[in-house]
Amino acid sequence: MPEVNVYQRMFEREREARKQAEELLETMSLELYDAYSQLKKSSDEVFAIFRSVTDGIVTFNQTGTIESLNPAIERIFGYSENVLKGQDIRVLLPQNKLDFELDDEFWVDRCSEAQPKFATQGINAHGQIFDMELSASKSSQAGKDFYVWVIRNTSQIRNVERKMAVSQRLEAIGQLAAGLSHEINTPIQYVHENVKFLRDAFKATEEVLVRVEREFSSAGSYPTPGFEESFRQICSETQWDFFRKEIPIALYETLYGSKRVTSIVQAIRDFAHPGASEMSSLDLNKAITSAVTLAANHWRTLGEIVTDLDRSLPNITCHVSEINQVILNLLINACDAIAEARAANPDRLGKIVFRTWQEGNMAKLSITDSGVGIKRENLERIFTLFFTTKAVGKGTGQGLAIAHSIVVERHNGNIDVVSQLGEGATFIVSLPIQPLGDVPPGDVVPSGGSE
Amino acid sequence: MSSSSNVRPSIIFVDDDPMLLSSTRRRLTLVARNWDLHFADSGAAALEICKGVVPSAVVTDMRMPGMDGAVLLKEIQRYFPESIRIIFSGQTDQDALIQAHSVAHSILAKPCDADQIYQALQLSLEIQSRLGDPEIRRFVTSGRTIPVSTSSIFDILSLLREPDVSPKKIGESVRNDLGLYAYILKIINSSHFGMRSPVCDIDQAILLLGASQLRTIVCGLKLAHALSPTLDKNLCTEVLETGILRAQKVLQLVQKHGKPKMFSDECYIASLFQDFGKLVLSVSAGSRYLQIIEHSRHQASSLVDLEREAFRCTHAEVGAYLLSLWSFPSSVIRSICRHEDLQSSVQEEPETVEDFVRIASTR
Ligand SMILES: Nc1ncnc2c1ncn2[C@@H]1O[C@H](COP(=O)(O)OP(=O)(O)OP(=O)(O)O)[C@@H](O)[C@H]1O
Ligand SMILES: [Mg+2]
Repeated sequence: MPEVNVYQRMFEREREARKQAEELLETMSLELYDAYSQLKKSSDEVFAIFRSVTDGIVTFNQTGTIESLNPAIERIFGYSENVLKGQDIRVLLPQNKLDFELDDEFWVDRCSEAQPKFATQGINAHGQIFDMELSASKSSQAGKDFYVWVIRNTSQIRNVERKMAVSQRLEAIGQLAAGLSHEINTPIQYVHENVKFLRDAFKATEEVLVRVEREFSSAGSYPTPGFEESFRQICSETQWDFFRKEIPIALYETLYGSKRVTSIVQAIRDFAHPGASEMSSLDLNKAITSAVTLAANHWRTLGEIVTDLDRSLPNITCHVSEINQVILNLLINACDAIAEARAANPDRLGKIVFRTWQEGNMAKLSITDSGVGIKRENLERIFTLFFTTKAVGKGTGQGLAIAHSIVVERHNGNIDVVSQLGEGATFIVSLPIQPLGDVPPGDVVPSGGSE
Repeated sequence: MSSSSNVRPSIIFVDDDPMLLSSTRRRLTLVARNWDLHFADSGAAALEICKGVVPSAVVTDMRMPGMDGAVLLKEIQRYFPESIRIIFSGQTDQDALIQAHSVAHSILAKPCDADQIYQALQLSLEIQSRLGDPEIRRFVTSGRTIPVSTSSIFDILSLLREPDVSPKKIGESVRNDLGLYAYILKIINSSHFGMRSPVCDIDQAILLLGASQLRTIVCGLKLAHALSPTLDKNLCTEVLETGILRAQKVLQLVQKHGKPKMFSDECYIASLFQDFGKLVLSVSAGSRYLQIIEHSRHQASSLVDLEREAFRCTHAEVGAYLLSLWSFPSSVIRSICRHEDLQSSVQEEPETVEDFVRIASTR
């Protein structure tokens, strides 16, 4: 059967070809496999990196919907991956804390330019706000734009800053110390001098009285005709007219001076208030007056301070020494700004105005100075740690950063600035009168408790 | 010591606190009856007063709006070199005060008795009135040039650069230069250091100041004062060596009388610095003074007579004057000022610093 042979051969040939093809395929697929495993290996690596880095990475699309995230994001924000996927990226941000519109382009622009990353705040699943450092970038894949945020939790760093805050407070008071001793020594000096004068004055008074008495006793009960003459002589010998004029003034100055020393000592005591961890009650108006007293030697050479304080402002509950520190930092800055303005134009009188008022459940404080003002481009940066325009040794750039962290983080308040370059600046601090989220006492303490 | 001049000294007090001025005026009206008192509430106001009167002394606060005290005194030094310049400050910033020493004759710390200011200043004014030659008076008071030798400044500075140099070594070096010695005592005895009694012991002064403040002082000296090129080395050595000899004799005498340390310190200083005025004169008059000394060696006339002839005052008065501006204890000043007065007889039983020094010098 020739056909059988033909078929046989065809089959053989075909089998041969197939075998070759298979072999070819095999080598090819082997290459492919190699390539694949290479690829897989590196993508695994990338993925592992993506999952293991301590920085959080999150991507989202143009509408703000989260597409992917790594475990660090879960750790930082306390949400699990499947909860976050598909959510709006804004859930990670305390929106009420933002001082600008949340705008994707804004974030990207802001980061892609000069600053590769910047400090902001995030909010976690428990509603706690923390500091984070954010760097944003924009990519596109298959014609679709998407955004990548890399987030680092910096609240540990903030802890260090908090310790710095304490030393900054001591520094701020230390800055005042040299001036303070002057503030105290000057009134002590005139009190001392006046008391010595009054001692002499008493001696003179005594002498006048003794001599008048002698006149009387030698003349019987009535003054003799020559009495007026001799009285005048006694007066001139004892400088009685001088003493009579000066004694009341000396008394007034003595009282004034001792009152001044008392108020300074009181202010030091208020400010040295230990940085207790519990909140306590603070009269904001009094805190301002104390700061003004403490810094007197600082501003007296610059101009005047006016206070326009709302007397009905209720006490606020806060970390007292920290709020004192904020006031002092703002006051010292205002003095510095005026000093700078006066350096350029010595005739320009400095003026600082403190105001307080109440707005709903917030206590507000503003301090306006007639100093140099702040350049527009610096307005956003002044609260950044170590940002300073002052000479080395004069400013460290900590004052406002610390004030910000005290007001915003520690007290859920707000600190704002308005400034016209060359005209001056106003800083406005808002503080909750009662701490936010504080349960009214009635709910915690059982009324009419059993004890 | 009575004032030979009949002119009432004009003293200007400057402070931005009106009550401070008012209390000072009130007290000094009673205490300083021989002074014309002027009060200014700012540096500018003080300079305004100076348009009408030549101030004998200016006593000013340090921190004031506008012109501060040190700046005011610089102006005074420039336009009224013969005015005595004092800072009366409530400030406690030691570094700022030490720097102010280069322009102020002395620094008083608030609080301080007005009587004390009066007495200290009155003593200086009295001695000043004995300096007959206005040139000398102006030169010494201006304080631009003081009798410290340049080489000892550099010696001390290089000593202070060593990491842990002992205070003893610094002391040895300071002892070799009477001008520097006196200048350091001037600073440590300023009332801002709050010493309860005058420090006369240079080792103690160095310990109290510490290396860093010493450096500030010596650098300040280098910057603010012209160190005199005319300060004669041989004269320095002679004044120093005779001073040390005299001081040692006084110490033995004082110890025999069992006097307290404070007293013996004062005697020591009074005898060590007895001829300090020679250095001051040699700085003020240069080679002219050296010639006078030379003459006195060969001629019959005494040095003091030649000095009187040339300067209408003696080295005793000039030395006492500068040291009085530098707040040396008044007992020391009196002793130095009168050491050439031959009329003063030696007491049988010595009592004062002056008595002891006189006995020791004549033996
Ligand atoms: N009242 C003001 N007027 C003008 N500029 C101000 C004012 N307050 C702050 N600034 C600007 O903000 C910068 C930062 O202030 P901040 O208080 O943080 O630091 P600093 O004052 O420079 O130094 P520090 O407070 O640590 O001594 C200042 O250097 C200054 O440029
Ligand atoms: Mg500041």
